[in-house]
Amino acid sequence: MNTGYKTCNADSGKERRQLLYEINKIDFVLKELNLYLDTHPYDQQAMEAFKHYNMAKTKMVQEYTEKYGPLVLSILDMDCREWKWATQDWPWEGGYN
Amino acid sequence: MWNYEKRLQFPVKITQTNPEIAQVIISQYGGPDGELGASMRYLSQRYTMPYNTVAGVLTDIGTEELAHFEMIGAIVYQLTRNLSPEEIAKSGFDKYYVDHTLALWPQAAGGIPFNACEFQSKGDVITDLMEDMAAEQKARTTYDNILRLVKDPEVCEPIRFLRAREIVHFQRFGEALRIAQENLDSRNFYAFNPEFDK
Repeated sequence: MNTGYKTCNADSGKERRQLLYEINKIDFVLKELNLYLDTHPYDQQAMEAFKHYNMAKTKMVQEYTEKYGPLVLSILDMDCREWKWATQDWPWEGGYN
Repeated sequence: MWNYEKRLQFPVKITQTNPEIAQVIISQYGGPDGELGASMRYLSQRYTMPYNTVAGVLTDIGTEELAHFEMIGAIVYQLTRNLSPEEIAKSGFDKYYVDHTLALWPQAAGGIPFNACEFQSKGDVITDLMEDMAAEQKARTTYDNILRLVKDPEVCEPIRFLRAREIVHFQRFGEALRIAQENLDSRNFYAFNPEFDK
């Protein structure tokens, strides 16, 4: 029976780890640009790059959330009857990597 | 305010426990040059910082240090997960275990508790930024010391990442100091303290 709800299974597979790896990489770029811009606040090229990677990160986090579960509380997959933020493993357990 | 991201800044996935090395690495959790002290130092110094860009550096590096504090916590946790009483006794982890079981508690490798005396918030731009640059180098040295003792690549990789971040932060604080000095009297940087003398 189709209940209209997506299955809420947490997948610990290779594809999930790969997507998280890509999110980590893009966030690293953002952190570097963030610190650089703090001391170079008029660098247009760096600001453009920050905007670009920030949008890319949001898209990837949305994809991750829909497929596997939430990473931030500002982007949630509401089409699910489970508060996966709390029911899924926390990052220090190692399963996130 | 802050928001939490439910991931580590760099992956920590350790499959072999090692309570001996956990007792060394815990120094970066709550030791004199650890990540908790780093974060508290920068986040405390920023309120009286008269230059917005420098306050930005302190805020954003102070925030990143919290992510490093979490990574060190994850490393120590995974190195001591599910230890048996025999493993605890044999490894010398018993002295920590008796007070904290297998929980995380901020202390130095030698057992000294985390203490705010391990950092300064002096209220003088040059003094504080010099301390921050030294702090990044001290943390880098600590990671170098840890890396000489650690053989497990699953532990080395996140430690190497953290070591590299100390160097980046040192560079950024160097730029922050340059910005501060550009705002001071170039003939005498110490003529007045912009955090106090208005």
